[in-house]
Amino acid sequence: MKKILVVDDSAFMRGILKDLLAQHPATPEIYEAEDKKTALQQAKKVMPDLVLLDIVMQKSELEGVEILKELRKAYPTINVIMLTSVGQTGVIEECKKLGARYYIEKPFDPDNVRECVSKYIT
Amino acid sequence: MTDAFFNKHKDVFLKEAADHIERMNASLMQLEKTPNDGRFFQDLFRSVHTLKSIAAVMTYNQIVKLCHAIEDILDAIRNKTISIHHCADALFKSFDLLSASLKEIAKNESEINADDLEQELRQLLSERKENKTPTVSSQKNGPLPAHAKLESIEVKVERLDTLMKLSEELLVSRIKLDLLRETINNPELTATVDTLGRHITDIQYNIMQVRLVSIDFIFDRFPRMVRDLAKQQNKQVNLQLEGGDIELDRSLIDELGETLGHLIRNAIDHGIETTDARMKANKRPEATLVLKATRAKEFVSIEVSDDGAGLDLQKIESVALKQNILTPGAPPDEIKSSIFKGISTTKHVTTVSGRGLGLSIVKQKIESMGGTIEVRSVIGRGTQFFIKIPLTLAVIKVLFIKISDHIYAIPINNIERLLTVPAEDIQGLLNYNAIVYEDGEIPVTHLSHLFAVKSQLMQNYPIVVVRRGKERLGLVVDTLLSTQEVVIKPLTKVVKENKYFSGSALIGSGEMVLILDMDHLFLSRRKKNEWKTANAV
Repeated sequence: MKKILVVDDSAFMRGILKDLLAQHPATPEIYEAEDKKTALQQAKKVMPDLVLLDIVMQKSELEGVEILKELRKAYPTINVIMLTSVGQTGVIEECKKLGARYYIEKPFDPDNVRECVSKYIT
Repeated sequence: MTDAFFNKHKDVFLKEAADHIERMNASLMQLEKTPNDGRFFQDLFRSVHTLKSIAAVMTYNQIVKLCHAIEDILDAIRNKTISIHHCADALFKSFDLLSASLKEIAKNESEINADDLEQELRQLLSERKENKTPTVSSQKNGPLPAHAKLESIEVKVERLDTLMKLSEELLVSRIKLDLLRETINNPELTATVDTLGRHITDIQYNIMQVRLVSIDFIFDRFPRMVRDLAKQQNKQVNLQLEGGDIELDRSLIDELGETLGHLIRNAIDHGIETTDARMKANKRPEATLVLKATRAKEFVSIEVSDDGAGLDLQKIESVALKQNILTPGAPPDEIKSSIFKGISTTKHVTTVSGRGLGLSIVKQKIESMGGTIEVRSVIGRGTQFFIKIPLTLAVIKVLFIKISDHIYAIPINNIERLLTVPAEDIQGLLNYNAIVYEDGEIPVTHLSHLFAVKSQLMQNYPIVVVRRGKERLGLVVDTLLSTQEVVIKPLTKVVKENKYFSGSALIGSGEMVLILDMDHLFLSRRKKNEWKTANAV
């Protein structure tokens, strides 16, 4: 079974994404993390096929980018989709360079999320 | 989004949204003080932005709209087309509306319409537009302060209360089992009861831990309150909060919050002078208001102090005399205390305070929590209130003793040693009795005399030596019984008037046992006369 790791410091967002992803026909297993430390621990433990990663976290502006760097360093083939906000063009470019596959703008459209995720888990 | 989906996520949304609004308030308040501090600005921006996106998921469109307008204002502040001071009030007002909207949503009502406020914010922007057209620039990223993010689940308080009650009942059953164990005297039973006992204590301790809430929960609401009140009255107040990480049982939080709010309102309304008056009195134009929590073994102390005008004792005395609260010639301490008896020296009632009942209610509330409040004040220099609240629902280990067929409890942590002393070794000194033990003389008292109950004449007296700081005191009792862990309950008012007891506990037989108050025993020991009569064997 495919595994997806959702990294967002908002429990609300994680809950929403979890529910969305659970409806996916591929019925992936979903794991979650709220910060860098747990994200890296979870990645190591479950070896996800796909990571949905929020760029902005309350703790530090670019914690998401930091996590992306570490993930790509440890697992060069890992698929990461960034969750971003409107207007973060500069950061999005940086994430692409660091190996993020795609980005989804928040507030997101559920269909868009499902479609995007399908590329990596079916 | 389906209804089920919506309802499932609503609670989490409400909690996170409330956290963001709280953070927005805190950041804006800091920004007002230090407009150039980019960290607070980014915190504020990020919270508004996140709130907007989570509200969008829930389709709370009024919140989204207002957040959007707030973001535009923040953009304008960042681009220096508008100053923070110019729009702080409107922003605070917007935060309040967001909060109010959340409350409505929590009640399953629809969110509050934000059209007017949005318009007001847009107005602020257009007023400034002539100066400079706002441009969108990308944020610079600097080091940011770490927010202690609490990952937790929400538990309804009433469920915790139920757990707490159940655990207390467990404790009572355990005490009954303890008694059974002694009568039956079976090693296997003894071991099982012991293990069970340990687990019950652990459970209770952990439930109590879960119920703890840090005082920050109360403190966090004050910066905003102080800001608004001070602004209303043309006063400058610097609020300092200390010890917010100290934890209190959930049951105390609401009452304590109200009480402190009252004292703060009083301080700003009556204590702290206007900026002009302070300048005239050669004081710093900005007044300092300190809220400081500290934790002692069995108490949490909270100090509320201001460097305002102080209490005008003469004025208080004359009003109190008129209202027959004081008798002429009362000492200063008594005059000061009369402020807790419902007098008011202010000529007019303001929207903030001044009805005079405030402090008497404050005192009542604190006493209902088993606490005390004292006031100190120097005219022209300021006023300090000291509040002491016992950590309720505490489990403590006590020694049961018997005096004239009644069982009492002494907290174990006060006990230094237990002795049995022949009657002739208790020596009558000048005005008290004492025993000589190893490292010196220990004053003793017969609890039976203190409580004015029948005492037994015995050849040997059991003595409980208690300690408080460097002082020691021997308490002569009739019989020493067992030690046990008990849940302290606050005393009813009638018993509280008898100062020798600090609380009560329920024991296995269902009987209430009074717990001796060591502080008071030592205190009354200093009042020699009382002591002398008490010790006359």
